[in-house]
Amino acid sequence: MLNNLVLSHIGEPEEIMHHGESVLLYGSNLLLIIMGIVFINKLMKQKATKKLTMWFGLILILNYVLVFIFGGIEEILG
Amino acid sequence: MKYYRLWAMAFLLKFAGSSWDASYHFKYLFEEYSIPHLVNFAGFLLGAVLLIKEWRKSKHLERLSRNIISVGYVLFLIGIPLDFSYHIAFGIDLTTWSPTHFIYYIGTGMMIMGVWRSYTLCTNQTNLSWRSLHTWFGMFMIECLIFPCMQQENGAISYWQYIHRQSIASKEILDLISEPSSQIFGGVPSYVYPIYTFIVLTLFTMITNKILRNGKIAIAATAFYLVCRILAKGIYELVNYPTSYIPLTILIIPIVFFILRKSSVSASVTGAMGYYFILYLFQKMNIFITPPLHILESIPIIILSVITPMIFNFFMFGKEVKPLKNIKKLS
Repeated sequence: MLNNLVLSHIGEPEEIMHHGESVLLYGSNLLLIIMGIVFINKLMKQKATKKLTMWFGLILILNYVLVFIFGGIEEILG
Repeated sequence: MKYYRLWAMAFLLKFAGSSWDASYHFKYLFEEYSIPHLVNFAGFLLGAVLLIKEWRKSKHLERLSRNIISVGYVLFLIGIPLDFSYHIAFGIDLTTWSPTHFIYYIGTGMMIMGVWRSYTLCTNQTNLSWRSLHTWFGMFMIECLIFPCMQQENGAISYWQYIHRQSIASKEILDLISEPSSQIFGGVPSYVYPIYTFIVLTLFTMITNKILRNGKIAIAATAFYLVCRILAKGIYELVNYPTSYIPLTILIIPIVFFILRKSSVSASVTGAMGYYFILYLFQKMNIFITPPLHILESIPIIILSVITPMIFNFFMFGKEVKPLKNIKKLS
């Protein structure tokens, strides 16, 4: 199954210039996932606060800035 | 009502953009500013404006529904950087079945769910008819649920053209193809298509019928979805764009549930058999170019058609869905 899924890829994995940059990208992704889970949980409990929204927004912006730097503006459209 | 019509417009733009995008990538690789992405983004933006307005001054949406829509937006926004990293780690993929793409589908599904829930609450006792926005929201939900299947539905025709040397794909796409039977179908096994389609459509029909207590809404939503697909196919044919197989047999599922409403298990089994065997017949008799099918796939579908309503009834047994409380009358 996994092998089949890999076959659906039409391009090779891209090399980001430095190891440090990939750590930064994946690290910020991980932070976004954790913040996202906390934020969604609070939204469903209808207890989302302004402070939490701001933190989530900041981490989201950081991720989008990294996408813009490494990929370009067209990647931001999804 | 205008507020919900604007939401319908936002989802329609998203639907048009995503369907166009699925077809676009069977012909072209990438463009810097791909128009289908921009159309999809316009729908996303319109919805975001409507949602932000509601957060500033709550007027049209019920509170929990507004938060469900917000969760949808949060998921969608998280999905974009994750999809980018996925491409960096594993390479570019042209498939609707990618794990990070599912974040988009779940996010969009939650947006539709939130708007539909709020609309239901606001119009509960007055407008539970198929001649209302229920049909529109149902149609958008079906589109969102079975969107991944467009890989197989577009792929079926593209693969047929490829093996008959009639491909309309651009040279850059053709140069990248090394394993056509896997790459064109998104790298998923053939049995996923009929099983996935049957399960999501059955659950959609059962949940809609249970909550809205009107079996005609699921039928109208499915028929409306198919009409939209037929219209899109006509337009794509005209401009020589890749077209797709239209899953006509999905309409059997909500119709059977409407006719056999007393027993969900017999409705599900009849729906499964009707859906799969007519689809299989289309393939065997060369009526349409369908996604690849194997007769043995009918066994898990029939087993699942017995299990799915049983599980659904187990969780819903004794839980009569109460008429939702009318929170306000809409002007």
